[in-house]
Amino acid sequence: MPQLHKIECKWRFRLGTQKFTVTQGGATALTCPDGWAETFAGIAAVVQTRLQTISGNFSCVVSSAGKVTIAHSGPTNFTIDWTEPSLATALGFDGSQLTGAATYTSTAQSPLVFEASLPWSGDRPGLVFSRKAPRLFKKTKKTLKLAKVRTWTVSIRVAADEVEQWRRVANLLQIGTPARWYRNKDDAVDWSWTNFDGAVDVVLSSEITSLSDDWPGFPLRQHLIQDLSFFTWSNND
Amino acid sequence: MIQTYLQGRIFIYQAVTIRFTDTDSSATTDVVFAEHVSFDTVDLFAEHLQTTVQAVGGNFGDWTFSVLTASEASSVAGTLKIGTGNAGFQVDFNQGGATTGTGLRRYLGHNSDTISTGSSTYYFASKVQASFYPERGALSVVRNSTKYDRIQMMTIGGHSFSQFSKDTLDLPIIALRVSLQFNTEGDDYGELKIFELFLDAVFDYPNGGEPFSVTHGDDVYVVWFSGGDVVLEYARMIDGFNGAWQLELALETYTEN
Repeated sequence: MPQLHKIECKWRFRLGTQKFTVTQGGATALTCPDGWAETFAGIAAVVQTRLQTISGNFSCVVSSAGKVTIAHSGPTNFTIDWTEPSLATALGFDGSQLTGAATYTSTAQSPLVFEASLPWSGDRPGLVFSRKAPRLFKKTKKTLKLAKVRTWTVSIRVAADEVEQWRRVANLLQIGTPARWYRNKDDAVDWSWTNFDGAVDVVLSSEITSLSDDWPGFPLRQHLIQDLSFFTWSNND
Repeated sequence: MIQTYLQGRIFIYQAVTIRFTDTDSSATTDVVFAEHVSFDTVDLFAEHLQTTVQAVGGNFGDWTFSVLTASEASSVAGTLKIGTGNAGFQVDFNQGGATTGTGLRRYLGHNSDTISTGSSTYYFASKVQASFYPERGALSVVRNSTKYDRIQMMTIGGHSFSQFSKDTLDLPIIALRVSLQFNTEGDDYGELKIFELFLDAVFDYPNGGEPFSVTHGDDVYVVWFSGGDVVLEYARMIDGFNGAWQLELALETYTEN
């Protein structure tokens, strides 16, 4: 079985806006602190930290790809009202009140997460050097390197029944949302020369102005292929 | 099989005096590099050292300077080697109390400002920073096109003339496409990392900088990356041997081979 890939868009908790209210006995308004969650599990961890200011019995953990489970181990029923619907959406809930239970699991996959069921291919690194190269004086003057950026390209395969979920993630990538790309979904360690299949932090290359679907074997439409290229700022060693 | 290797140039950005001492005869000689002297390849630099030192005569007449093209005595290809043919010797990269030789010897792959050995053969501590000796030769080194720039002017009176001179500044620009192949077996994903370190050294060391050189068999090209930004994309070789990747380099050269 080839290794399978996963992409998780990063999530920005904006100061004072990601609020939710937990009611268990009395109501407690919780506000998530400003900052980036680097992974989907990182979002769950922030929410769990907030919940545990009420009780250590609360937990919020990733239960499956793009889904979380929020629970009270008492178990004691509790209610969550989402002040900010985008946080509910990020966690895979529809934004309506969660009530009448001690455990809630996301009703849909988070739009931040895509876990491939088909192998992706042709993933390969590259480099872009920006230079200051005064052409007229090439024979005598020295060329300076202004910047070095690592790039990655890959041909992704998305099964027909996954396309809707892929579109959600692709939309975020296309507006420049940074993401963590697990080149082996079971390997969370950073990419390095000694861990070549490791995860890289990426943004869609600014040179990509559109994404095109290629459906091999049309009209069977079993899976689509897209060619993606990324810039990455991961560890360069 | 044809060997391919890449070397950075050596640019002397501050005057350097290197003193060589032959232990056997206690004779010394200073090799002086003026500011802004440059050598297109490390091979040429080694050749210059050898010619200059041998010209002194005496024991120095047997001294040799070379860059290893294959591993030798635990030193990898790209390592500078000094041989005296007689006995031990000393090298002081900062002769005269200056410190300008430190950057140069670091670029050349040595870890201290002096060498003092009782052996007649000495290998630098590591390979020249800007050097890349892949296990496999390039798949191809092709001169794609030769471009002759010209200047065309029109006078107020309606006359026009153009100018092109091979004898002065207007050397033709030759587009060179080099297809390197990498062995990615082994530690640190093999030669991919080493190649990137080569590029870093070419651009980052004050003694380096473009142009660099591509040696393919008997041909030596002094090259620049063509265009503005350098975009490199490794590719897995189709039907290649296990672990082989390749990379196309779009280069320009003035060399007329």
